Amino acid sequence: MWEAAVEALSLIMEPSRLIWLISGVGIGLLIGIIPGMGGAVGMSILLPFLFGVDPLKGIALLIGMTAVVHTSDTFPSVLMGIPGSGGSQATVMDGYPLAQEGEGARALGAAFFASMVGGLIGAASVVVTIPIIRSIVLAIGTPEFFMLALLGLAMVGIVSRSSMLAGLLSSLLGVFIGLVGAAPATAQYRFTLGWFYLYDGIPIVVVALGVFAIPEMTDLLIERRSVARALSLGGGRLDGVRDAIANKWLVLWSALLGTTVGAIPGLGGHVVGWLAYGLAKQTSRDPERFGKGDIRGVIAPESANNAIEAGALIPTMLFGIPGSAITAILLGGLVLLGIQPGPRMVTTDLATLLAMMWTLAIANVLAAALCFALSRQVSKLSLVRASRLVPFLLALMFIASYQATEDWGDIIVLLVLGAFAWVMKQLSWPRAPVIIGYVLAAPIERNLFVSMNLFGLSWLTRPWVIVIGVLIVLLLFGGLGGSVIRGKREMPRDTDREAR
Amino acid sequence: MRRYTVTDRGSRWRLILGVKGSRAWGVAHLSIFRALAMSFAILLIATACATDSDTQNNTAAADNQTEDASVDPYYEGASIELMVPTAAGGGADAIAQFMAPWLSDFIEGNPQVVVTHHPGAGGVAGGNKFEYSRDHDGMTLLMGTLATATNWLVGEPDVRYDFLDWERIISTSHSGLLYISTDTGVESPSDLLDTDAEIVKGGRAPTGPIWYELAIEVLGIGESIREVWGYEGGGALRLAFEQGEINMNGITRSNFLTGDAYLFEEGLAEPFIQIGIPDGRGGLEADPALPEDLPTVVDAHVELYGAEPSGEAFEALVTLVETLNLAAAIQTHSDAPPEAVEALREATAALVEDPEFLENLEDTLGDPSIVAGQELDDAFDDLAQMDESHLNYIRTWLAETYPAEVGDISPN
Repeated sequence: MWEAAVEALSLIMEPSRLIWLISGVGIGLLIGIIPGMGGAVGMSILLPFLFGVDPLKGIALLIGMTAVVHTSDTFPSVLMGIPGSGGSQATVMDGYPLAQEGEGARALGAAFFASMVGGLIGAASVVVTIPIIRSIVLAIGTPEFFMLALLGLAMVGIVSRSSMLAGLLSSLLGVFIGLVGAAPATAQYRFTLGWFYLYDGIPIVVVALGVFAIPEMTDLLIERRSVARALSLGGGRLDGVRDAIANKWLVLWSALLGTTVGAIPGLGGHVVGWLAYGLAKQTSRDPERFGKGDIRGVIAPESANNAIEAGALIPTMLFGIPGSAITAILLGGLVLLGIQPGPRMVTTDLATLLAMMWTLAIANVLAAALCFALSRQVSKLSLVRASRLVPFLLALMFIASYQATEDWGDIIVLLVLGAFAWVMKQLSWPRAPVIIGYVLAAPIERNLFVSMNLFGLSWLTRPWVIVIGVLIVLLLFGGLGGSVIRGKREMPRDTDREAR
Repeated sequence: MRRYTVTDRGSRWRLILGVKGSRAWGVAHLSIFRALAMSFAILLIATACATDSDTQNNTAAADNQTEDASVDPYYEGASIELMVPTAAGGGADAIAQFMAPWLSDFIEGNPQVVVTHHPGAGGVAGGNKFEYSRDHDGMTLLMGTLATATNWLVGEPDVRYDFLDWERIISTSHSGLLYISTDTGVESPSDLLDTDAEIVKGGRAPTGPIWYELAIEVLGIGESIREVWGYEGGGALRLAFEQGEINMNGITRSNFLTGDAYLFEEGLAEPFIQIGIPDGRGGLEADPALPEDLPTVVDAHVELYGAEPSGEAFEALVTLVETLNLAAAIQTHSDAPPEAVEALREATAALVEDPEFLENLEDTLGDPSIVAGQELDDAFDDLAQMDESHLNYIRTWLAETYPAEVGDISPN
């Protein structure tokens, strides 16, 4: 396999192909910075250019773009509290408070470094496990998929800052939003209110922007301030890098988590950041700081979401099942390039797969370097007063929503969800679980339906189903127990501390 | 957290722009910025109002028409929109992206062909938009998908287009087959009736390509096969097949030649029956691109019962096959200007004869079947003359057999 790896590297390093890679990185960078756009949009823009292109150049462009989006999407997450794309929603939790306290540069530095390392670890771990990967994925049957999706939902309890009950209710609300539209397995339409637009459900862009962005923008305008309450970004990007290095084990296992979850088809990029964040919080000795500006809350999700694309390439290339929204479009692009996913990717076509991994690695490094260089300039956006910045951003967001299906429904639903989410924000209900519930609704229902049809109730006795079930119970009650204990401990304390 | 309130607007801007200077300069900067912003906004609005791509196309077309038509081709300097009713990245998208530059080359006048995506309502939104939100001037084409056809076929209530009413210019034909796991030891339909093995077929949703189920019905082997719905797509079905969760699956010819090919090469799966392609006489014949010894539904019926199939179910199946065979067609409106349709048909007639195109088609999409011109028209005529009772049969059968919600039983 090492000969194939070296061969793949020499294939990629050819100057003309490198140029395609760099172009992909550049485009991905821009797309990540604009809140709400996400990698899927960029991919669809690039598709028409792929026809007739030499496959390795095309791969360089597509994957270069994929790798970068998760690095540059940190900018809006940290600076404005709006996720740049699905993967970086969790980054907002601690990144944004850090920026508000004037430590934006530190958060960015930590995020970029963690992103870069996470992406590299992701690519490396995929390459290392190539010999056994196929058998691993084959061992995950439909019931196991269902349990894993439930596990994702259970994570919700951990990431909710306030009451875990509120978190679970929010996640169920998200599941409800996810149910709108056609049922996964039958030709029945639910909750469409007789409105044609809702037949395909509510697009993820609309939900993400409505639930996260609209309330933030609205509050920014109401409070008439700029994003950063302080007038400086604080010292150091390098401080951030040092923080990331100090937390190297966190970076490592977040990346491994990201790769693993990415390799499970259907769970998707949105959940990964939350999983990493949740686990980081749960396994830390002083979790109270999470949500108020703990740098670890930035490092964990950023490392994980860059690793996810490496993992997501596995089901995509081996089985033709997209591991995430981006890889879904990538699959279409690969067909145009004449590349056929299948088991051949780990045997005769191994060089192609390895070329992709090399591209991912190189693109991640390039992306981190570029983001570092640009961070000072881009960060100044957070100093601009809200009344100047927000209208521009709102216009961008409406356009981003509208391009989901180019129907007025996109705008209407955006506003309705946005208004509802704003109320949630005022009442301190956690909104992040809504997205988690939304994303997991389809896999949960689909896999449960198929499991019941295939096995009746006997699937409940499968070994891994039981293992994951126990894990879920532990997480839920651990979270509940933990928050009760923490609640008792925290009550007499002053919540307004500035200890660093 | 302490708040820093900055009342001096000038110094805020100085900080951002890195300009050192007097307070007055900072404030003056602000007014210039305002003025620029206003003019830019006005410019944007003016441009938006003035530009309308449809109007531009119409103007171009109108200009061409008023001039001597034999001098300037209809599509000279024009831009054609090729609408895909799904999100980017699916099978229909791949075909559209592949065809766009070829069409551009071959259509007289070399118009630019731009692929746009219109996902929604399982493919119905795109079809509706094509019919109602676009001018019928030949400047818009639709990349049909199986869903465009099947939703119309089953009378899905929000379908506002008439599938039969479009002008098809080129079509990649579809054909389907069922394959079965070699573990079951079942090799032919008669084996199926004798075996003890449990046969589980995986499927997506009942409004998808239901011809597999209808074929099973025609052959009368439905009792021996358990159907599990709910799989997400071809990839998920393939994975489930390899895991042994299902042991029968239905795929199209192009998947047989490409994505699912390894299952056969590695001996995991064996082709069971093929649906067949329309023979132009109201029956089904073998698809030449599939293995010769793979029985069609007709052959299998003869093997099982000693006679050719007949009756409502079979006739409905033939109708269904004829419909789906044409489903993945690029089409334009039937009331588009005759010069436009003429130009398109000339282009596609030349295209399907072009060896380079055919070679490229096979290399890229793996499947060399493409139909245009008279052959396409013949197939379409068959469909147009279909008995409405066949449509009714399909809809009734669907409603009774599967958890599907279909429209009221009345033909278009």
